Amino acid sequence: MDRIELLQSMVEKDKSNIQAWYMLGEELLQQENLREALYAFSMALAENDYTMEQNVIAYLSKVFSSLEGQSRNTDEENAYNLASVRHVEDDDQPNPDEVEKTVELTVIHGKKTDNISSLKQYQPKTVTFQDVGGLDSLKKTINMKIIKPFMDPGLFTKFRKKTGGGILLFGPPGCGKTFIAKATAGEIGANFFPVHISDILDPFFGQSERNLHDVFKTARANRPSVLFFDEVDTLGYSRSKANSDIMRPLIDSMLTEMESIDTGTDNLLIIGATNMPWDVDSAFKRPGRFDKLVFVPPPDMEARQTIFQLKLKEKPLSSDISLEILATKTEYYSGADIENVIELATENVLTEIMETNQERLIGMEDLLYAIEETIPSTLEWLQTIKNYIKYSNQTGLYKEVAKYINKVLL
Amino acid sequence: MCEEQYANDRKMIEHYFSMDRYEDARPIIENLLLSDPQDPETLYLMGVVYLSREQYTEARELVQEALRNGYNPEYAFFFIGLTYQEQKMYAEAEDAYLRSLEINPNQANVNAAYGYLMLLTGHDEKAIKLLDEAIRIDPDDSAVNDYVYRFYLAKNDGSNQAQYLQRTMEIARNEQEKLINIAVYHLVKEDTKTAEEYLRQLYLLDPTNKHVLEVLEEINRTNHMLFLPNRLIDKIGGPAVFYIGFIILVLVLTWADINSIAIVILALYLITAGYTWLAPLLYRLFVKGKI
Amino acid sequence: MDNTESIYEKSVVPNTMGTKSFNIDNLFLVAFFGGVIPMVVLGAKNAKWLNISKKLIYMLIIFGAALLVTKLVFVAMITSGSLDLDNTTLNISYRVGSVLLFIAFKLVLNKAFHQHMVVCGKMEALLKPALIWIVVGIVVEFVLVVAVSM
Repeated sequence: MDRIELLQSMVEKDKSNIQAWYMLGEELLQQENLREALYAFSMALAENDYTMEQNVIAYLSKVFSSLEGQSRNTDEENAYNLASVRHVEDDDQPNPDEVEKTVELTVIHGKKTDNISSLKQYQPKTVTFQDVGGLDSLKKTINMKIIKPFMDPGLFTKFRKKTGGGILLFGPPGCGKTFIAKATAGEIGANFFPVHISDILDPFFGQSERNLHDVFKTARANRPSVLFFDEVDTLGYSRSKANSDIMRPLIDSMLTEMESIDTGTDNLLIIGATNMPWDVDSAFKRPGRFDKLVFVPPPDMEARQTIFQLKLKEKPLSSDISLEILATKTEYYSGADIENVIELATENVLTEIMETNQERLIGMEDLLYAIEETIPSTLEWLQTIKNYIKYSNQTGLYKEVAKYINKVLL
Repeated sequence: MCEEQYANDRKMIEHYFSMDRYEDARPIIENLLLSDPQDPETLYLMGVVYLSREQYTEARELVQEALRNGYNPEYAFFFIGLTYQEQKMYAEAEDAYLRSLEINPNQANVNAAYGYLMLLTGHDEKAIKLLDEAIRIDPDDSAVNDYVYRFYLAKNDGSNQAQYLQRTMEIARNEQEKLINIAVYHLVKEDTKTAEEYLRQLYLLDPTNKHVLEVLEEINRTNHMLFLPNRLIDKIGGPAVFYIGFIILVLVLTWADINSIAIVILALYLITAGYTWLAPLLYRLFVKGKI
Repeated sequence: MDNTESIYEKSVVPNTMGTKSFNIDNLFLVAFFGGVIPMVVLGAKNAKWLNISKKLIYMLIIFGAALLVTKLVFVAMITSGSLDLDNTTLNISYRVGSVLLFIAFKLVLNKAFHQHMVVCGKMEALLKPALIWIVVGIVVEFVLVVAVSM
């Protein structure tokens, strides 16, 4: 039995054992389980013991001041203080217009949401649409379908246009759905809470549903917020396809949680992302749930230029690099594919340097050769959705994709 | 690795497996193997991933390793039998099934798989006995009923086909299984129009299923206008009947001394026969080439 | 339980292969263009692949051989002048006979072919062996016809 388990059994036996609660808080904080640590400390303070209060304050001050120090060392803004937490998103993209907000940290009871309110989450960076190169049409769609109704619901109410409901971003893998969702959160100045099925799923009966509930509770407590469900098809997998009923309660919980949101008053926006929209249970696509489907296409010319520019930034490059030519030659390439091209070119140059012992820079030819050696990973997805539209006899939910395919593939 | 993490990982793997997303489960299994490369359960799970990739030898080796490390031999031998069967190594598959059944003869799915192996190898009587035994052990197992259904499809036994189709529809685990069975039923009956509709629904449930797409495209191909003469010839009993009919007609006309009509019939026959040969080429040129 | 004990005994001999088959409908073209020899060779091969009993295969081979011998007898009789029949009638009759041989093969193979298609769903490529055996058949028949004509 490890130390945490020992302390947990002690506090279970005697809930008034404030020393045990305090030590449990220390252990949990060392493991970066902030939410449960704060719960343990608050239990330690439940008896109004003055010495204990001093101990807790001293210990937490010490921990947070060391975190502040770390944050300064990386030239980033102070992310914490005891009463408030500046919550912003992580990303490796550049961030010219950093938007930051101060929100109150709320401790939620529950077992497994450490990934939502853990220390790792509070890394000071945010993104907006300015950080997304190209994709103007997509940005316009998101602006009209998501941002405007969220920011100004009154206007839509006046014209009796329904607002609310979640948004499902779908498209080929590696095309920046998560980044777009983050940028959307940045645009509306909301906190961004990414959630993956692994954050929810728990082997103990009923715990997965409780975890899901806690996720929504945390997002509500930190509003305005965007709750982003990555790979939402794994959470809301089509019940007519599942080999067992094991996920049904979780799907029902998710549907209930989504229906209980009133975007106008809750200031909570739900965004889902998936590469396989056909796998998402049809119940999720009904009004009030993920009723707006937004297609995130492979990066366009401008976006590809931006991606090349960003990813080549740190590399030793020769002067003949033309971003425009590179972007032209990489039609249908996803962001991940472009990154792969650059990695391949780099590897080739490194191999040559090691073989010849003559150092040189990465040139245009290296990149063009790497492009020739690769094929865009999005083609398979586009072919699949093209067949899907063909056999469904109607474009329906995938009107945008049909338009895209007709424009670029035919 | 702590027990809680292990349990969470197992839950994730189970979840991905329930969605047939074996590749998504792979990194988690690899991670588990890094912390305990000898864990029989994890080795078995990795074997399942390889089975889904149709890498049967690797899958078998992993499960054999799991077996050496203490994995349940009933399941391990069954799995090993399946991999041999997929590789058409029927004698080895039989050995593995028999070893599994030796440990526990009351495994409905192993009896059914062994029965199906007997059908594949031409031991029809033994096949039906084993399938009956499997049904006796667990009449509500969907996999067992699938095997029995496929047996009667192969044997072209109409009444049993209908009975087991209904049974598989009642106990199918999901919509996909139902659609597959009903589509296959209509395909075997050569009712391609109805089969196409079910396959279309099946494809819409899983557009990544390349096998379904292939069958749909083949149906589309044979139903194309260009193949109309071929379909008409098939309807009257195939090229042989068409040819014999033509010969009889020409002989009768010649005997009746109506040579001019006989020549027209001969020309029509030659044009139709020639066209049926050229139809696939024309389809490739004008329909497939267009895409 | 005796019944179940017997079903758990080994039945598959080592190196047992699964069934294989050409598209048996396309054997019509082999019979039509190539005559009896390629039809018998490829038909018998297909029957063996589908585990048809040896007795039935031999009967079909005998039927094919009888057709060929009949043709040769007729050729010899025409050449010797003992039968007044023109070559076109003989050729058409022989071709009809070859097609009847195909129908006989189809009737025998049909059930096993259906089973093969349900459990396996794959067909072997026929074009190459068909072309080879059609050429061989035509050459052998020509040699035999010349031999009996002399």
